[in-house]
Amino acid sequence: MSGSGVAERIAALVQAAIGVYTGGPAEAELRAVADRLAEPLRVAIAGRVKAGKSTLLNALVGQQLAATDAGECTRIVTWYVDGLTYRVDLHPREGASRQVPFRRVRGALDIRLDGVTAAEVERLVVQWPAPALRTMSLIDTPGMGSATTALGERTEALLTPEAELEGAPAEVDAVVYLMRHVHGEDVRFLETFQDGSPDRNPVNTVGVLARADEVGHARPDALEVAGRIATRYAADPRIRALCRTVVPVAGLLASAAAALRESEYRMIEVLARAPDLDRLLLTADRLLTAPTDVPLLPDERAALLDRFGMFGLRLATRMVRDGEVGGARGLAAALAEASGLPLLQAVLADQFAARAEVLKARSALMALEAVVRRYPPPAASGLARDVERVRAEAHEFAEIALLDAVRSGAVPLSPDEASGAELLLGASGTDARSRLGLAADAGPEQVRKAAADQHLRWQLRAEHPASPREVRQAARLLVRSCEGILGGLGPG
Amino acid sequence: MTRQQGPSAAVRYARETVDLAIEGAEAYRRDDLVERLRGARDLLSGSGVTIYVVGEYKKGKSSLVNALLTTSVCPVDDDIATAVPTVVRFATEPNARATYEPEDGDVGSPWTETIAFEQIAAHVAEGGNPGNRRRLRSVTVGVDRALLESGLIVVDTPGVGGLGSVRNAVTASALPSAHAVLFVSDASQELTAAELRFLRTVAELCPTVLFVLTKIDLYPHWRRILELDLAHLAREGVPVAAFAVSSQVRSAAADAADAELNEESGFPPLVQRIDEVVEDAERVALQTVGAHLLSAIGQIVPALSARAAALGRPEDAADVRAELVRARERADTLRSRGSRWQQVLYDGFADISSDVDFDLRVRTRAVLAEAEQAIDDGDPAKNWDEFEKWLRSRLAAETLENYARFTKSADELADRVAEHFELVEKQILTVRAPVGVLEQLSIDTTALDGPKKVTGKMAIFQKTYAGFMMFTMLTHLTALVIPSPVGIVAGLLMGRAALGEERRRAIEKRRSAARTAVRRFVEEFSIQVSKDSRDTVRRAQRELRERYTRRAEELQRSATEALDAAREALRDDEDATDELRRLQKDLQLFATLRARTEQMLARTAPEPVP
Repeated sequence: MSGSGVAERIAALVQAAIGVYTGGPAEAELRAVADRLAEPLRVAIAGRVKAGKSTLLNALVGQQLAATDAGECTRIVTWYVDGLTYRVDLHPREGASRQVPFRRVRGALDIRLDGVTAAEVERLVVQWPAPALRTMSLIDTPGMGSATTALGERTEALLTPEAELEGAPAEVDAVVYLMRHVHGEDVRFLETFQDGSPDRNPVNTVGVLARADEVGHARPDALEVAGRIATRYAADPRIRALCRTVVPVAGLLASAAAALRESEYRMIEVLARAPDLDRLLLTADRLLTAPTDVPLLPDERAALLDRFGMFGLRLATRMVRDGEVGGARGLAAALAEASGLPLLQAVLADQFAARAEVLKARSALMALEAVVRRYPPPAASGLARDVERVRAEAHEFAEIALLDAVRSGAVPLSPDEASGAELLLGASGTDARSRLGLAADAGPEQVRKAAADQHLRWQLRAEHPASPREVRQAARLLVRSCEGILGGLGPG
Repeated sequence: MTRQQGPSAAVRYARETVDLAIEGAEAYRRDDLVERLRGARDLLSGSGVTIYVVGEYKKGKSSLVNALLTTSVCPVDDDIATAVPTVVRFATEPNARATYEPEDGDVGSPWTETIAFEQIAAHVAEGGNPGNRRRLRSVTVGVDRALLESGLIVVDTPGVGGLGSVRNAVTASALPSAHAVLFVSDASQELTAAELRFLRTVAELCPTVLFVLTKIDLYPHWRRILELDLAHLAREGVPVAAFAVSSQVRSAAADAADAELNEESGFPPLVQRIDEVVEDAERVALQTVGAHLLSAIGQIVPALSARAAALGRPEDAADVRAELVRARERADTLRSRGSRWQQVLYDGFADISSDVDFDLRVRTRAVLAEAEQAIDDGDPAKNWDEFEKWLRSRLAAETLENYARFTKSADELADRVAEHFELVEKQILTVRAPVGVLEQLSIDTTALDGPKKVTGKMAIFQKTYAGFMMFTMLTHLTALVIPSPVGIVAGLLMGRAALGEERRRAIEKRRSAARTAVRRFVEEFSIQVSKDSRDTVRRAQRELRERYTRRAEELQRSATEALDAAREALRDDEDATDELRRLQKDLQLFATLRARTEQMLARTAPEPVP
């Protein structure tokens, strides 16, 4: 029942396949699949143009790595992976990859393409020794809906494999999708992303209401309002069908907090003491150009504004002035908390990382299936049969598929039943207590009783003659999940 | 800000002139001309300079309207967006009215009711009226604001990017009757592809587009964004005037009565430009009225002068009559089917009809191809509702662009017809009178050259466009059902999902059902829309034809009456001297009227382009 069970079986299967195909055309591909299984989770950060993808990436990495700008900025799909050294590789559309030089401008990477145009580059891979990249590789993407259309197409190509490759493994395991307010185009993109292959589903997408600090015109309660909007979105069936949950994140605030420098803190202190603070913070232009006695150079003010934004500066100066925080670390912690990033990190850790093994195994299995389809193995090896069997027996995959179906409304359950089923399928965590919706400190007896209740409930539903066929099938699968929980508890 | 109360001096002057001309036309029993002049007088009644505020979802349109009018009539919410258009106009007492869609099949006028001022938000915002179940069409609010006193009407619209974008096609369909459009985007990011596309359509429907960049108080780099936006617009070939504003700062300035802060908000140049739009509208109205006046006077005078000539200089009577016979022949030709303007009209509309039809066909075919691609790439069992919504809004958007194309070519055609018609009209009205008595009365036609463009298209077409097509089209669009292929979904997503072949077959079956459903829907849609579109073309054609036919009939009648007057004089000369004196007095009067009109036209003439 545990995720690693199926992952191990698939890893073994991949090794067996390498044995079968040694020396053949598929060997390299299979070795890549094996490597992929050993790699951390791949998370793509996608969304409409200017949603704040690079800013969020910087916040997650905890460094100002990706270049950010007021205009549209990210033009090339860029992978950020853990590594022993600092290096950047350029993978062109045609030809072999090669290392390219880079320098850092105020922390951000300035990568030289060496005479290659952005259009000819398939991706850049940045190796960077950063603790955050050890648990997941991050992929920054050009935004959708750019007036310069070629940029957006890049991302769609990355996230939605070509029709002819149907069944090919997804390049990414999970997607963080940034939306500002749901626009028509957002929904369309999420749809394309879902449509690409029947195996894509809301299970591996988390929605982020980005630039949360700008909601409600950056008034002091902006983040609360953003929280309300995110909650409403998360409950909207149209969005539920597309992503697992929606969390509000003020990316700029988070990235400023993640790398807050002592010098910046001192500037904020100076600003917070200014008698004409409110007047200065009325508009960005005023802060930059209004005559004032505040001993900050225009450049320093501009830099602060770029790093924190109007909302961030208003919040930070208020915190410092009211004595809520002291010192750079205190401020950084308070800003990080306010930014909503910890919540996103928790969702990624609990919901994606916990399922990462299964998700990765699923990707590997799909890759393996594609190879077996393309180069049928000798029947004697039994490889095709083994692959089919793993797929058929993997209850975890069936759970993911059912979770997807329940969320997209394809299974006619009552709202109450649907939310129970989602929990049971591991929507908020795959341990027994999360599945049963119990507190983390619930006793074993309580767990057993809850599991038995659920078991009975779905058993009845599965056998009820009036249940539609989809419901009966879903209920049978849920019964199996309950059996798994009960089995895991051992004899009581 | 100084703004005069009520109608301007120019409008009052024009009104007096029209009233005098109406009296003159009544005295000579020209009821056809009286009717025309009364219609012209209505153009001066002030109200109705309409400015629409459009833009994507959550870009600060309602805040902009509130800040512009320094009021809070448009509900602004951080989350919930505006769902129906809000029409803000002048009223001494604050009031609000809600207008509802008529029931299906009911062709009567829509139902309206008065609502409490505090209830506006509940009606206008999405939250108070989810999915617009109450079939609200618009909310009209009256407020006491100086900017609106000149008759300006500001319309706040739902965002174009929102999930219900069929609604916004309804909004856009009203744009041809707008005097200007404020296109709103904010400084948080440069224009997107969707915004640019909508902007292009808007610019075709209403040539005066003011681009307003909002929220500049929040973003230090707003100048960069503005620059990028202008570059995008230049690349698209959409000429617009740009304004960068902060509604927040303007509202704060209004609260604190702080003029400096108001200056900082960026609003004063925008307000000034809006004033110019109002003035321009007035100027166009005055030019149109002037043209009608000249034409009416020009038609009454020949009869008078012909009779005066016959009475005063009988030796020239034969020449006068010969001249008048030629004028009548021209008028007859103008009226006949073979005349040039009629040919231009018929051929032009035939071309438009086939162009528009072809364009629509190409567009729906492209949408269908996209839809089929989407079906082939995906599984119709998932997100069918979203897909359906996407399909509907794609079709609505394409139809809108098609409609914009029609509007533009119909406008151009109207200009061409006007040119041909007025060329002949001028010849009829410049009856060369013989020298002598009539010397000082000869018809001066120079003024006719000026404003003919203006009379070409203004009033009639606006209502022709706005009223019909989009509404019926959209009713068809929402009434058509796309049967869901999800019904045949077997529970194959679950359990034995691994059996690849079986699953693939099921998906294939769903896809083919979906393709059939979509194809049928698009076909039905394009039949309905092309019927609507042909009807609209026909309606526009009929209105234009009737309009000029009426004018031709007027001219015919004028020429005939002039000829009759000239003949009559020879038979009956009892009180010739008295009559001659009276005629000369009247001619003097009409000459004065003409002078007044020319003065008015000269004052309101468009600035010469350097």
